[in-house]
Amino acid sequence: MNCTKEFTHNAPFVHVLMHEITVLLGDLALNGKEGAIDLRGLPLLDQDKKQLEDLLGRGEVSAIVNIMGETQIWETAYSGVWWLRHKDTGDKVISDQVAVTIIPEILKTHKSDVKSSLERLRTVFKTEEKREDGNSHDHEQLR
Amino acid sequence: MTTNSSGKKNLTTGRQPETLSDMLQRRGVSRRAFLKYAAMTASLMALPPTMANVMAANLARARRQSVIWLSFQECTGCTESLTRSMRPTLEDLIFDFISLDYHHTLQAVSGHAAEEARRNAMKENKGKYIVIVDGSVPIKDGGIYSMIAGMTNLQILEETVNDAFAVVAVGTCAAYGGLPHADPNPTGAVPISDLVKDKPLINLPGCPPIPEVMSGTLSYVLSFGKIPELDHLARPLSFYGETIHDRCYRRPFYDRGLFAKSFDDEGARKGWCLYELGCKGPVAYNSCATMKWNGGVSFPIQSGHGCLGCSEPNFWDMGGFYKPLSTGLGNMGSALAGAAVAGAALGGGSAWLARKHQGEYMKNLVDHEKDKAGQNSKKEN
Repeated sequence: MNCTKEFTHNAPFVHVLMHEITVLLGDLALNGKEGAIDLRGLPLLDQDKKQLEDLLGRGEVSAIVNIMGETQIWETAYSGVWWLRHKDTGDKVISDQVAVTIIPEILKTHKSDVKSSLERLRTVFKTEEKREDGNSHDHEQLR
Repeated sequence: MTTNSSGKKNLTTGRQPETLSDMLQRRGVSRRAFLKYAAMTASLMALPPTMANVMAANLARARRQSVIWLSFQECTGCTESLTRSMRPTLEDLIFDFISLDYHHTLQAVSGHAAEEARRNAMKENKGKYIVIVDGSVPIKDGGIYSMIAGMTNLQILEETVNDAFAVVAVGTCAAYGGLPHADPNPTGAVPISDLVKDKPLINLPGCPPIPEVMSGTLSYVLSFGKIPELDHLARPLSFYGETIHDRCYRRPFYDRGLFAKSFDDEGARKGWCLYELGCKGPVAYNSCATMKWNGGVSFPIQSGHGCLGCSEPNFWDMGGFYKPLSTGLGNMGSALAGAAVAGAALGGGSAWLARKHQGEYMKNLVDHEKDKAGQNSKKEN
């Protein structure tokens, strides 16, 4: 794990955010309540955001979701605190979020997608079976 | 274009239309697309981030929203803004989420078939469709200055709005009358709010409005089945809650009293505040300073030009784009200038004061310009 830097008070807004994340994580630990902070609407400079990212560090898990552009997700050095960076198809960051949760919703497979993929898999399987049946029939005829 | 889109069964097949989730799944797009879209929209609308999951679930369950888009006295800039200013991005999903059943510029059919499409959409989605209007409505001389299919704009509006769920006035012309309404208003142009009194109305002013404001507002209505919280001019607070000045990156220069005096002086080159060059940012409520344009590349002030205040009523008649807000406009002008100066120290207090004075200030400004024009015309005569 890469966590790391110590709290400094030269970026007061970052300090406030770290405090808020601590409160949210406490709520998750004690009550199982999830929370999130949207960084887009906050008056953060790029260097403030970078400092927050550095302070939270990187944990054991990272993932990339490819849908309408890339979404980068990593668990920070503090388990239960995740960073979600949504990008558009032009690789531009459209949203940065800190999510305090067991696992971000976007990483889970939704039930309806499971059903849909089951149907697709069955269709592929049936097609393969038919093809194999057809092939064995051809072989018999050749004999 | 389809003619059946909302929760009603298709009149010919009797089938219930598919949900947005089914529709995207058919194309191999997973539910994660909804989550990402909802996260972006919630972020734009300053909703709590945790609302994104609720929004995504609601969107997935929703069926395509029937939208009838009426274009009256306008320049098509609003349509251009929505359809052409973005590369294939998340905002494009809005075109999957809505069924645009009638739109002069975008629809393939024309003539009687077009009008039939509008009436079919109204019939099949009675009480559920959304009417988007861009452009003002001329009412002088019986409304003859803008007619479509033998009907005046007013007749089409009245007929279409009758069974609508809500009306969205897109662009400054529809919201306040805009350029056609500018003095001397030869066609008697009026905004939609003067004509639609018994339906929920959302104003999305701007010349043109920011595309994400349009897609975000529609997504909100689709997700939550209600209109978002509005200000006193029926604008969504999430997009029009603060002035350009409040969120301008040049604001620190204003606070320090550093102003560009001309467009090519040292101050302009150093990016100082454009207040003295006529910037209307302190009285313009819009999201340009944070959402920006062309995929977030820039906005007018970042490109070196003051804000024109295009999301405000009568912006065309505000006395000149290059005239500072604080000059020669009677007591209201100085009161507002005072409020803005106080803002340097008081922050949010100035926003409140500026909003309080804004209506009267704008009225004064327009009256002042009209008086001046009247005096000039007398002199010429």
